[in-house]
Amino acid sequence: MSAPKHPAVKINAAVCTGCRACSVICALSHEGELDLAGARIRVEKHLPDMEKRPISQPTACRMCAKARCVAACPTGALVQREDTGLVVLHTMLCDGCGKCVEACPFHAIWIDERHGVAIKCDLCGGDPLCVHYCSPGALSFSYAGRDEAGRE
Amino acid sequence: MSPKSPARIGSPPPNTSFGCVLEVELSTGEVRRWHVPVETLRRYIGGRGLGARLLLDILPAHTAPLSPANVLMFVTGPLTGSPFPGSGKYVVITRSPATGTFLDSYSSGLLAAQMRFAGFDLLILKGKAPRPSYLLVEDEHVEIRPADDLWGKDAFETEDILRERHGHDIGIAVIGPAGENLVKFAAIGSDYFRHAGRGGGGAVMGSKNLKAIVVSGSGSIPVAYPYRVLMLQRRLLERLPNLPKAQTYIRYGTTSTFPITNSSGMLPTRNFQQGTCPEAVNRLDAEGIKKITIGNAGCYTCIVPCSRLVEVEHNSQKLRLEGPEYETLSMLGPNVGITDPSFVVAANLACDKLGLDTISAGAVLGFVMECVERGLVDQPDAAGLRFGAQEAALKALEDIAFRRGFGDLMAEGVRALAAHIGRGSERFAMHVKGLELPGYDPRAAFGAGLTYAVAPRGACHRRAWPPREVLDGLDPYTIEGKAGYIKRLFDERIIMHSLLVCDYAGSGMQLTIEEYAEFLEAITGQQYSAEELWEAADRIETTIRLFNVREGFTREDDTLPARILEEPLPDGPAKGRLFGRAGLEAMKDEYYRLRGWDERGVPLPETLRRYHITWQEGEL
Repeated sequence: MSAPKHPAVKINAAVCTGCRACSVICALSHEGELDLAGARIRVEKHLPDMEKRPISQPTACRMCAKARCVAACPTGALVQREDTGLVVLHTMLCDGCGKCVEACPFHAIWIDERHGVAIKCDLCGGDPLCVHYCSPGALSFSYAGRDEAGRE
Repeated sequence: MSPKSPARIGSPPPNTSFGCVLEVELSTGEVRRWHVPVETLRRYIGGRGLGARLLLDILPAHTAPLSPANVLMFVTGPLTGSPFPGSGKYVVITRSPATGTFLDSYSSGLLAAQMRFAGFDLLILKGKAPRPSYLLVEDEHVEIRPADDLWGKDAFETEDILRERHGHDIGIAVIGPAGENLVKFAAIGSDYFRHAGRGGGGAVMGSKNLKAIVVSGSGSIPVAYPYRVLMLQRRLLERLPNLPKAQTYIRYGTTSTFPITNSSGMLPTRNFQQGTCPEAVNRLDAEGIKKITIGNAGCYTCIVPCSRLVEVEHNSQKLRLEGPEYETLSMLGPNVGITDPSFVVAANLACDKLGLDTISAGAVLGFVMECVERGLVDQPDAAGLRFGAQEAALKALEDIAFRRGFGDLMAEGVRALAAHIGRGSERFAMHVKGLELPGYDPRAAFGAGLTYAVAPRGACHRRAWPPREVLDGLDPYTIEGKAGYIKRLFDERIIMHSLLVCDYAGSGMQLTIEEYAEFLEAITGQQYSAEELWEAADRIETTIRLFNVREGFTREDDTLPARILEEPLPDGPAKGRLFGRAGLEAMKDEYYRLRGWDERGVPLPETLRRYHITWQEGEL
């Protein structure tokens, strides 16, 4: 998988164990509770036949350069910042219509039915926690096409 | 800043709740919700402990295990659903159809967390559905649905259909044909490859006409101190790279046990006739399984992901499996005279789909194979069952699950088989109280003899892991000091299994009871000292003993197969070693004394008082 153009959680699904620690830590740090519904990173598993690879596939917002979710958003809740390329969700402008969910080709944005709004990765304000809590090292943080070590 | 401004603001969070019960009467569909009294929670914690207390209270004495009156519980613990290592487990609690004793059997999968997301921590099932059914719980919605279309399907097909119908990330527990047909060692499966295998929980589910349980919750588990949880978990992750044990578990999983048991002479080979299997080296041991491994998998949030994903060719078919675990490698490997990894994978997969416990399945096959080779069985459909006979073994697994021909008798387990076959076969019927021995020969670690004899569910390897006394550097061939040592291991596991966390992850991370108390406070806000947790362990074991005493179990039932007591092993480092009947009785005396039980193994009145165990006087 090539590195995203903009700051994003980079995923190496080949080493993912499917444990969902990323989801649970994400929900805990954002919502202060344990659940999966509040997770901004989610894991799909391909059991039992394991025909489809990778067997476990985490998904989070890639901060696409030309984000379709931003184009699809009718309320202006989703915007792309010109300076950093970040795709930002202003929850207070979101009416939960779900157009972004339909538009995202990576299925990386969801509607949290409990609050009636979209949820997506916000990179924890610049230091995504899931990366630190992923014990097999399937997640890393890359920014401007570089990984944490500054490699291109 | 004014000197009056406080350095600490706000007040600590209230204790978050654990102990919500969802009780379903399957005969009528009636649903009750209640909360376990706070004092009971404090004393019994959750998981095994709380399940034991409630079973003793709810189940009428002498209830037949496969009758509608038996109670089937799925229990989580206060740490369930948290990020701490191994907290994705649930325990099935019931009266075992294999043994008639208290049964606790553990499994993983998303079910445990989903139960708590859906707003309950314990599921209590009573009665019997009038027709094949499955239980659907979606948050507050509880429904008993017809399962006529699922009845007869294997466990994987059943899961596929239910996931298609109710969503991919549901929590699920299913039985296969073995559970439907009341096989005494039928398992309950979750997420295809995780099983509450031991003791026949699957048969209890089948006896209730319950094919599956589906739980999906959109809620969340409250946390007292979220930042503290993040901090403690971060600390564990920092420690992880420097823990050789955890790294071995991550690299090899439970297959790392194989070289230990094989080299210390405790690997059951040909129905416990030998303790080593040199031909299995580089085939069924850690290195052998590594050759067929295609990936790693971990349970819910586990930082010690010990599961292997493997791929083999068997009879020109490509088979993939999450597993096999050590117990399967030993019991469906050397114990049945086979060292071909592709057979073990095929047999494991067959057991998973049919809904059979791989340990008891391997023990039953091994026992029948020995009987056939000794000429004690003359049924034509058992004749092919000889050590090493792969196709006959695979066919026998199906015959067991569907109770075809001789499989109908094999489905009753080793004890019933020996009673039927007779002719001295009882001597090598490898079970305790009706539960077949797992993959560790106690003649090579004497403490394991005591473990198997006094473990409440019969021959159990999860209360005190048998190789531990070898790895801890104790003399495995003495009974000296073993009772105290084994009791300590039991108590540690009781605490883990009540919180409810996986003992394998905990042991890999070398977590202390003090650390568990820290986790518990971070999640629930409740403070426990380590002493209180150790005391709870004593309380819980004595409570479980009361259950078994009530059901008629005595000191005489705490015994071992004659082969273990009287026949020395012919091979390996344990060759010629026996603790014998006198050795076992001496260990039992000491163990009962340490527990505060009398010489008959009955808890003393002062022990009940000391641990605040309520009990109807005169019932003993």
